[in-house]
Amino acid sequence: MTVGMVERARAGDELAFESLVDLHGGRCFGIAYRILRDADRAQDAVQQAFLLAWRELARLRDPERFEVWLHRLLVNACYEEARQRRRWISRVAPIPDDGPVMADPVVSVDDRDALERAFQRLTPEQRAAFVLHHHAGFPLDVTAEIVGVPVGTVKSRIHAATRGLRAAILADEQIGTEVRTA
Amino acid sequence: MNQLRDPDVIIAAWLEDGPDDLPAATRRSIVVGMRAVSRRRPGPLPGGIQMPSILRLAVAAALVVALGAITLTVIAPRPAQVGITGPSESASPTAASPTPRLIDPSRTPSPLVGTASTFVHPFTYRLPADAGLVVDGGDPTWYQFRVPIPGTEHWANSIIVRRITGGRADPCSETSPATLLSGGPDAVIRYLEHIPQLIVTEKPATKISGLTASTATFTPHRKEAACPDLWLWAEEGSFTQNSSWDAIGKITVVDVGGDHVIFMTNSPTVDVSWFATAQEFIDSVKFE
Repeated sequence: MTVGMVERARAGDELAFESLVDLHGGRCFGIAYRILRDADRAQDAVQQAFLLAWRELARLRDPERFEVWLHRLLVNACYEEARQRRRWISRVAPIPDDGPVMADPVVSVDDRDALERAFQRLTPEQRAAFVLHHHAGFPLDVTAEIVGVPVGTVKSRIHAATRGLRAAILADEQIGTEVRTA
Repeated sequence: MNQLRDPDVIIAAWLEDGPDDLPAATRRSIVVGMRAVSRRRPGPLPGGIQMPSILRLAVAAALVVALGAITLTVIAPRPAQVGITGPSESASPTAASPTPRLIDPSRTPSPLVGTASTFVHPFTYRLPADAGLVVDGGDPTWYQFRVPIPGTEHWANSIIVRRITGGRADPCSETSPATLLSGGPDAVIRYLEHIPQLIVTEKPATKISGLTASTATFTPHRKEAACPDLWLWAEEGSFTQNSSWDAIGKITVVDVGGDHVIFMTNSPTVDVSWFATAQEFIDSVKFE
């Protein structure tokens, strides 16, 4: 279905491209939000990625590679957003435009704060690899293709991100224990 | 009671907690924006399309370079390895796989000549004709040029340009502390020579962009349990994970404004042709 839509959109069919936006837009927004941790900038990144995709689609030779190609545009747009405006805002809870999001009871407010702070200390490249693999579920080789680096580098980035986030949780737990035993 | 919790469960729950629907306002912006965007065509741009002025400049620059190349090809004598010809379809940085050019088309005004403008020390380069190299990702600390294998998601060869800040106290450990490599480009080569798992040979001095540079050929060996992979630089990435223990690496180090900038490539065998191509690329680099 996607391939047919891509081919029609490539030929200039605007409705077909809108269908692609509907099909992939939510997932792209979810990925961009989790990389940037900011709903406004995630919206900017998604918009930039889709407009670039529309502009360049005629040059995509293999419609079956549309998804990887689109996600690569998205990640590049996230990098641009992250670098153009280094104003990281810690958010206790995401504030999307459409409807409330239920906070997961597994994650305490302290955990969330610690994880947000730790995530902000990661590079955009580490964040992207981590989100693409662990949230979006892309295999390592596809993640590598999307971000344009070897698989080994992707593994290294994910490892660094995981290590940083685990350390934040454990440090937070340690502080909590000390406070309780003081 | 202090109940131990699994950090990975908490991280997974935190990661999943967030929006997964495209906001309606964003969708509207995309649809409205589509009408204002001039679409690229696979062939020449037809008349009448309104291009942004920066795109017109980029196209004009590309035309000038292309005309120059054609003139050279027609007029100049043609030594076997020098002629400038148009790149094959798969070699073009304008091919399907997106590159930094999609964000800013003016960065590489032609398929063969480009500028790594987002690198910490911007440089211009010329891709060797018919080598099949494409610009395949870059940021302020590294640029990657690769030769994709047509019809696959793999690549045959690559050249990595990186700014490095140091080596590692223990190159066998991903978590090793970094070590400073004080001094000129030679300091980097000396560091490689002190790594027991590397054999370093051929160390001629050279110049890149008029700057003093050091080069070396190195081969990893002695893979053992205590050293499953080599992490050469303070920065992320393992040489042996990204290539292999059998790879032959070539490195060129140049001092740019007090930073060590390295050009690295590797090959599973002594591929004289590829190393010559990589050297042609490196020799074309001019730091701005």
